[in-house]
Amino acid sequence: MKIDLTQFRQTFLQESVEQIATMESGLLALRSTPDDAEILNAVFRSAHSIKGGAGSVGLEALARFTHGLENLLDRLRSREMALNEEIVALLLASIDVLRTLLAAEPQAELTDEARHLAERIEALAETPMQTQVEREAGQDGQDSDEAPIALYRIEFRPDREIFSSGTNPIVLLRNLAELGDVSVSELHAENLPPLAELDPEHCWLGWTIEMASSRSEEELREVFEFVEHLAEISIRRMEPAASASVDEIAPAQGVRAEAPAAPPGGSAPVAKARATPARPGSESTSIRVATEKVDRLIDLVGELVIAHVMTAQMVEKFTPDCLPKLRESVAAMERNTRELHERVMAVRMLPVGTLFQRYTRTVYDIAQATGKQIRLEMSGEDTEIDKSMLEQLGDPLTHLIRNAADHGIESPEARIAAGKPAEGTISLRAFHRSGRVVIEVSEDGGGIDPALVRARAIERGLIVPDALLSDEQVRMLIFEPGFSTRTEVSEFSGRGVGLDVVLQNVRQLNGSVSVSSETGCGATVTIELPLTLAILEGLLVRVADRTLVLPLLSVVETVSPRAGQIQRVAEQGDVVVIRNESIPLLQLRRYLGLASRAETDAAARSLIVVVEAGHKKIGLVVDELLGQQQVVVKSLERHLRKIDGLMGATILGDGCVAPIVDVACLANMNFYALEAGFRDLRHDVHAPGSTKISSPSGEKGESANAVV
Amino acid sequence: MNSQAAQPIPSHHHFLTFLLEEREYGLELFRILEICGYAPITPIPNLPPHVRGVMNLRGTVLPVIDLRMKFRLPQVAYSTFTVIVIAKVEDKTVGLLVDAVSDVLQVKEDELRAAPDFGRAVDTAFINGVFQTRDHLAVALNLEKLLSENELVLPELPGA
Repeated sequence: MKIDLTQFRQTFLQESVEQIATMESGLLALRSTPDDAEILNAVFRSAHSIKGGAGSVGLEALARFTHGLENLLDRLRSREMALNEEIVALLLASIDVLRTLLAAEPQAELTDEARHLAERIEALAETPMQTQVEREAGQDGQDSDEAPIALYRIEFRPDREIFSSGTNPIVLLRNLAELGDVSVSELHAENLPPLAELDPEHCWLGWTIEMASSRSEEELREVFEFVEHLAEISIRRMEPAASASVDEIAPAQGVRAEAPAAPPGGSAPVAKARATPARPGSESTSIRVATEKVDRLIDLVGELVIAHVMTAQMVEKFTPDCLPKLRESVAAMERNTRELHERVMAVRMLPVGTLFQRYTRTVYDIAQATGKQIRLEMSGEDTEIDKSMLEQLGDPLTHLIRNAADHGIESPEARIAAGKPAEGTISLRAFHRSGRVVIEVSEDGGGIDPALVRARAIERGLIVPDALLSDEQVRMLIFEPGFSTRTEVSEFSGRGVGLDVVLQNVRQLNGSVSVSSETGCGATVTIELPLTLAILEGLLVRVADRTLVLPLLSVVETVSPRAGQIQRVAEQGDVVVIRNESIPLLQLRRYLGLASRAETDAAARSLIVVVEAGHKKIGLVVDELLGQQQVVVKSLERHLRKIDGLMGATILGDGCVAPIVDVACLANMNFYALEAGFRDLRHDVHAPGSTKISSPSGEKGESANAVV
Repeated sequence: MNSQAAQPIPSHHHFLTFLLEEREYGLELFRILEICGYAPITPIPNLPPHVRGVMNLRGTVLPVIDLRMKFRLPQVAYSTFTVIVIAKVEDKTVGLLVDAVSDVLQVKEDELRAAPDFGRAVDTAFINGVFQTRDHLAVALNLEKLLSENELVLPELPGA
């Protein structure tokens, strides 16, 4: 049987990414609380797990490197050394090396830089008093002759179930063999059942090993650390009386070489297999789900099956007086289905904290490089968000944070001069607001000066000099492609470079972005996202003979307008005045391409659904409200293409397809068409968000429909 | 359907032929996923007129293209006799509205001739060739070209 390490390695890589993240955030936290033993222990444990795992899946360079790291951490943990900035910087640098090693080929050796780092770490770990000779000896990873050689008798009887934990006893034995010279290796096969009864997924074997080693008993025990609960392990130190004779050791090595199923030098075929699996960057196609979530799903499916059987029986023997009961069981099925939906969606939800963690490092790096003092505050890390959205948020948030740290926060001197504390604060918050997830990045730096942005936008040709734009609209210009400034480009970010990615990614997720800023007091960028992309609560409306779905979350109110409440503005479009607020109207008939002559009159007779996207409200003119319903979002892009103004389609109870309106997109079309003076700018200033995703022919459609 | 359909022998083509205004057209059989009856079509804004909208095929939303309109043939009302041919084009799936499906034919390579000039009724860019059926001359359609025009469904082909 050939042992395929590849799949274990994959698991190990996945786990290690998490461990490294834990180490990193721990180290960064230790900067402010260097005495927190809890955190230090957590960091140590992570390093230890990586070392252990790396060894057993054959990533030797990684294991060796982590070993040094672990020693240093151990010294810190036992208070033999104090943590200082230098050590933290060193440890953080070593975390980068770990990441590189994880991404590299399994047999890759350390780079010069990494080796240099390893030497420094080892030097640090060894500098103070040489008290623990034994431990130091272990550190080199080589047997040194100073330590006395002891004889051990190790009994290792794995549980039958050991394979189910992914443990390979042979690897453990091989690891053990590396710690000393094995003299006797005895196999216990007495439990082995006849072949017919043999379950290959169980372990039937046990071993007794006698070996000579310079290591301590604990070190030998460490080999079995991860299987302690899965095996009977006894390690006894034998009396040195019968000191192991050399000739006994020599043949024993033959036994050792035989024991592993793959030859010890057989890492080459493994290396080949390794070339195929996805690199850590492209991983994340799997989701780890809490067992209780799955259990609840199973329960729900069970209930659903029962409800179905009940209904089916009733239909079978149907008499009119069964009807109330039938209704009841259909209602039960509906409840179950709805909950099942929610639970299945919940499987895809992950806390944003996993994403937030990485930014501590981003901020730290920028602060180090620029000499600024920056603190990153986070809140709402537990807020859950759809996994695919989380992935797409990574880049936008990186850009926002870099931008805030690099350009937003001023130098300590400038801050003190402005009467602010020397240390700048960037805060990253996530929370729920009216059924949407809101992520805010704010900094208490210099803020975004609308005058500067305007000047730059004119210079870049993004807007015409006399464009009528509010301060907020001007600030939004920093998200336009091409709004970059050569003068301020730095290693981390040039203001505006990459910020268009923010708007683009967030819009693709059906979200919206807004900026608020007070010059001198910092800026806040707010990203609003739907909870999930796959299902939404919809308001069904009728327009002429068509049924449309409006996302209920964006609906503010519905109004049936009185005469005079609708007014025509500058022959450009209609607005409805609600509580002294003028809200632009969009004829959904028009959008759908249905001719309608007297639109204002028609609007007076119909209903207006006021919807909100970002901070914009628009009124959609519909004929009738049909009701409210949960709908599953189906992609139109999959077989057709992206349609301006629609985020997808859904299938209604009668099997018909109903389009789902993209309110944010409609709001942009309409808003800019409404105001005079914007019409020429529309494509330059704000249309990119709506036209970029669409095709050129979609743009033609837009101009035809957008003029209300 | 025999095994040859799944793995076409180079010298043979298999075609599904269908009728539009008494004229016969052919589509390579391997593209055809299924043939279904008329299903309600939901119109979608901002599309060329011959894309009638989308339909629901067991939970998948597919665009439906009216080939009569595409070929500028006179409109007829859709009825229960209208047939939708579900076909694959590159990685997408589309429904094609046709009058009726007629046959599955095996056509030898040398029986497939280059497209003659049809005049204005049919744009020859969408034509792979013509072949003789029992009583018609059928037109073998090139779906990629047909559907890439105006970026209808597929990105525009270079030079198309």
